[in-house]
Amino acid sequence: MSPSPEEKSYAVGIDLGTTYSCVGVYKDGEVQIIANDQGNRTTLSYVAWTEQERLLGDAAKNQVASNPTNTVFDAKRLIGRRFDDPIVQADLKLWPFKVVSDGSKDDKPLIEVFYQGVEKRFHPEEISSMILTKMKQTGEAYLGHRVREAVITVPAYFNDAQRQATKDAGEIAGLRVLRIVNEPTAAAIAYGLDKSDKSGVAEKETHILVFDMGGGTFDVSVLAIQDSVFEVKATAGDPHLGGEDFDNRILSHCIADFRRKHQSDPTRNQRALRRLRTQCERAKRLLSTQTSVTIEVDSLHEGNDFSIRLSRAKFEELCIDYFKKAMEPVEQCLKDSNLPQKAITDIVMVGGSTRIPKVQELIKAFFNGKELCKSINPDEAVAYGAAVQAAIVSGQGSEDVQNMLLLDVAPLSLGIETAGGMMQVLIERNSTVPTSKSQDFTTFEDYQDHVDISVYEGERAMVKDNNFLGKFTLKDIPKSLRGVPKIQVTFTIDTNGILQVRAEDAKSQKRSEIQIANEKGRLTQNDIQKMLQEAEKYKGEDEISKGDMLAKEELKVYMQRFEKGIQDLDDTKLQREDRERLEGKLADAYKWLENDGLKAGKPEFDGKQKELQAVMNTVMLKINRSQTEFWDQQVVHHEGEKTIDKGGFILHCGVDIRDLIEDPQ
Amino acid sequence: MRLRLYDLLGVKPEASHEEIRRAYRRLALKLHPDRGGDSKAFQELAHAYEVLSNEERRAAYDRFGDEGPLDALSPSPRRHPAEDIFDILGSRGGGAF
Repeated sequence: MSPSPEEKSYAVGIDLGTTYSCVGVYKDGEVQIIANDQGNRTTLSYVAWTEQERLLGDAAKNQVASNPTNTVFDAKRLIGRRFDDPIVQADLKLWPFKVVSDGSKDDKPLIEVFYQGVEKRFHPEEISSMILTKMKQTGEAYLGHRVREAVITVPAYFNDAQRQATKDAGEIAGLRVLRIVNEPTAAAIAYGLDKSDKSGVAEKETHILVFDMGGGTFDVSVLAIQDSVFEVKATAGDPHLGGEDFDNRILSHCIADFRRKHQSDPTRNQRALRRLRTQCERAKRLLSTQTSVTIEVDSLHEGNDFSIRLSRAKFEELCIDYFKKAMEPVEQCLKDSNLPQKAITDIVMVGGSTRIPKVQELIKAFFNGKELCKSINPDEAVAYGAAVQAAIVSGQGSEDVQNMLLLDVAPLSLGIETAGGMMQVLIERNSTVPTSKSQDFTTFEDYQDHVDISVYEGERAMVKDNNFLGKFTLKDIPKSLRGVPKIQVTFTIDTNGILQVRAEDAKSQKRSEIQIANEKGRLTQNDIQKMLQEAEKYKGEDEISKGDMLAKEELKVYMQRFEKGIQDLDDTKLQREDRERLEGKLADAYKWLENDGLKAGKPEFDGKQKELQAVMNTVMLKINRSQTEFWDQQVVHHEGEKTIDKGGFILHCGVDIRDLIEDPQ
Repeated sequence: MRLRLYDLLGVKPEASHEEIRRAYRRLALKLHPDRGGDSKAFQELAHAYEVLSNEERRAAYDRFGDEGPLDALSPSPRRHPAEDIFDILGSRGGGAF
């Protein structure tokens, strides 16, 4: 299969991160990490709406201090969660943008922003899709070809709903999502290729531990690598632990210090918080290489400057409970993979937060002083591995890549609720995917004609302690005594780690089959289609809106000058009827701007401005009767007439401007 | 007694752990859906490896074979001993709704 050059399209690998995203492509036998239009190899996972336009990536972050409530980040912390999720509720308090519930029984969170004067609400999937769109465009700009397919990575510990939602985000961005890959697994590929380049393909089995701590999530995976097979043995983690939590600790520390020094509280001042947070993040980064930093913000709140000295030791003290918490999944992962500590040949550090010296120190101590592997770029390794996987799955890789195989696992046990609220596990955690497990169940009461099947994920014995995924009912079971019907429940996890559940009443000849879908706040196919169209519209909007908004701004500026002009002219110069006419015209224009102006484009704005200019010019003509100016103005009038001829605008005032041109005398 | 799981992996019943692992990986390269294989075939292979790579489960399998009780093949430590071969589904599940 060799598509024609126009049709040629690439499959890319995208690391969709909480704070940063990264895109790579496998091309000409190697992986290229692609720089964005700003020249950065990672792109901030930010989306912002200004008066004029929508901004993506670095451009969005750059204006965050002046537009905090319409600058959205951390969508990954919301995706696939309910609004009433305690994690969402805790995060809400720290975000300057507004998150509300959609009010449905699914209680989906919606992000609320103001764009072009109108309130807009977005699902987290849509925000993520916008970031994916940016990454897609970055890829296309580099490749000079369309990018239609992608492998997207998620934290290994993401649950079913979060994976589904991430896949949906890809679809909304117009990407065919070839595969959802676990981040540490992708990083392991990057490590494995790097290693095999240096020392040839490993004949002997090696075990590596990937410690992946980024901006918002934390994962640990243990893999066995032999020949070209990468087998994930176990995975564990915390889907809500990362660099941003450390930033928040520093931020709280600074706020407490500010309160003490100035007896005033900046916590309700979103702009102040944003400015301070940026400096806290900067301080955290610097503390990875130096032992102390100064955090400084001029005129932070109520005119007070803020300055504080932060030592590395103090930073570590502020975050030590997080750092220690990160060691638990490491222990868990080793236990699950049935490997002793010393069986681990390499510890691979991935994600920006692994640059923190204390984190490195703790993990090194855990492995009795073993050296950590830092040969791969912690920011790019995940996208690198995703690009390789994209090449494997789409068949675009060279031979050595095509021979690789990735065996990934399901991170959480999956099962159903049985009598007494017990969790009956069908698929054990760390089962290699794809996998499928069936089990027979029966009825609890005589003549029971239906069963409810509630699906959960988690490791606890009682379902109430696990995470509810969804529920469906199997109806029309032939009535019989309890224990007689035989109902087979089948769980299937595909290569993306996404679950499907089927129940069949095997005893009756008639077999009913139900699939679980769209539960737990998942978007329906309809929703996705709608958002896809919306996103398409946005794409056009982004392109045309710049021109429209410039025209609108110019009109606004002109109207301000117009208003000031009327004020500046005293009654000796400006006759009362002319003043009234001008003021009336201006009031009309303001009204028009508020109503029609919301839907108007550049021609309408330009037309409106010309209309105002025409009226103003005739009045000015009366005032300044100098001959030269008269002819200057005449030219303007002709311009105005031309515009009318072209149908560029309609004269709402109902006055032919030619009538307004009075005799200069 | 037929021991189908060994056949699936193409190894003898007395194969070492190392041999079983190598056989699994070699066959996975052939049968995994990413490599153009059939998902069902891969799942059977993975199941065979799951049982035979676990010492306890392999011992139980060696004793009871393919006809052995389901529980001998199940790894779940959390499973409560079922009175019946079937677990019981209540008609009123205590779901979150």
